[in-house]
Amino acid sequence: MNSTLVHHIVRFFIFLLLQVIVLNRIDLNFGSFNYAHIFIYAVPIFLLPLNTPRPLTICLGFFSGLFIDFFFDSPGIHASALTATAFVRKYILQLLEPIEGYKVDGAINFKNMRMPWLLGYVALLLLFHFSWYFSVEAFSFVYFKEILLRIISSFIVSYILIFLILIIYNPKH
Amino acid sequence: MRNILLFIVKYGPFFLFLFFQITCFWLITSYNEKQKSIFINSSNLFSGYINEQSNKVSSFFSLDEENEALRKENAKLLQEILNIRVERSSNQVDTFADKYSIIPSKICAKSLDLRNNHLTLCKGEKDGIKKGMGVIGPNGVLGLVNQTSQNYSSVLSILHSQSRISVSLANQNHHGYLIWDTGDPQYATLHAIRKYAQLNIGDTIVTSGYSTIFPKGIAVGSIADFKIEPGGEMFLTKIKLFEDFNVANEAYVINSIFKTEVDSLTIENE
Repeated sequence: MNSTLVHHIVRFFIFLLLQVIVLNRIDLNFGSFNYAHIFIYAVPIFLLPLNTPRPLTICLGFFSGLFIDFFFDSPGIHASALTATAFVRKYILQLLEPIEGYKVDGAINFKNMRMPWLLGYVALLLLFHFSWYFSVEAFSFVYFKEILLRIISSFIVSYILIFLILIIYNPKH
Repeated sequence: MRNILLFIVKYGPFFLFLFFQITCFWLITSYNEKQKSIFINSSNLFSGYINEQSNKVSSFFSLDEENEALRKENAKLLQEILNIRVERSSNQVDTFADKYSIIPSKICAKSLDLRNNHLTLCKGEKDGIKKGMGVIGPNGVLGLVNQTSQNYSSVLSILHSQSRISVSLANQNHHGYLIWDTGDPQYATLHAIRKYAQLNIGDTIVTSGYSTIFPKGIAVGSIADFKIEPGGEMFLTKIKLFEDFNVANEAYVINSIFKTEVDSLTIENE
């Protein structure tokens, strides 16, 4: 149990630092196409154990989002998106619940979950996260087309990278 | 109490979520320039919209007062115009300040479709209206005051078989009188224009100023049609009245200061 907790804390820090130190410096501009951004900092929230208390999930979402915000110099935007993502995590889990239910120990990894489930789960949460984030970032639905373009292009890039990381790192807990 | 606690525990995550979102909203709108400006702009739009709507409602309720104020202002302007016109036409420096004064009033009631039509004004003797004064509207002549009470006065409208107004052509010195025998509230008939007058359709007819009731040169209507009276020396002219009695709402009563003086002279002569 103790090692699980440490594992999760370390994972949070690794992903947050990876985001702010490495990925923030990667510029994905193709000429005038500058709509793609890589955001992977939401992954530790996705991978929290199934039996994590919801208030804790939401608090973690808020504070790690705020942490990211300090580096992006955009107070509140990432925090808002990640809080919302942490809030809907339970509903997505309920939506994707297999007929026989989840395993009791509740870790989300390749051992417990089948690959298609994990693909769908991450995709739904990430899509929600990006929709919320880019809507709040634009702060107005006047730029609807631009928001949509950002959501889709960022989603594709981040989704591929997240799965590469997950496959390489293959979390146990 | 227990229920409240249960409620909070049950919906705790939601309240937490709400609390954090409000915090984020506050952070976003106070520390991000772009979002801040959008927020301020749209909240201004919103509050502006609300203000505009409430203004519309409140101005609707003050319309009556505003109308009254405008009516008074119009009357003042009209009075000045009339007096300037009089001064210019008399071509002399007048020692008496004003020859005409104007009393503005609202039209309380009116009839249009009868053989003999009347208007009722919402002002009476108390405001200085007396029998025999002329009444004009924003566009043209309305009629003559024929009865007054303390707070109301009755006006013999142009649309009355007994009404007879002395008029002339605006651009020529030909005089006639206007009576209403058409039965159509838009048209009246002009009699007694000599047949050597140059009439054109569309010419303006104005008050002649020979009677003391109306000053010279107040518009009455325009020529719609004319023909020579059968076997006569005169034109029979159909006049389209400028004042639309259907929509007439405002009236200005003309008080001629010298009316009593002139009238007493006339009576002495008779």
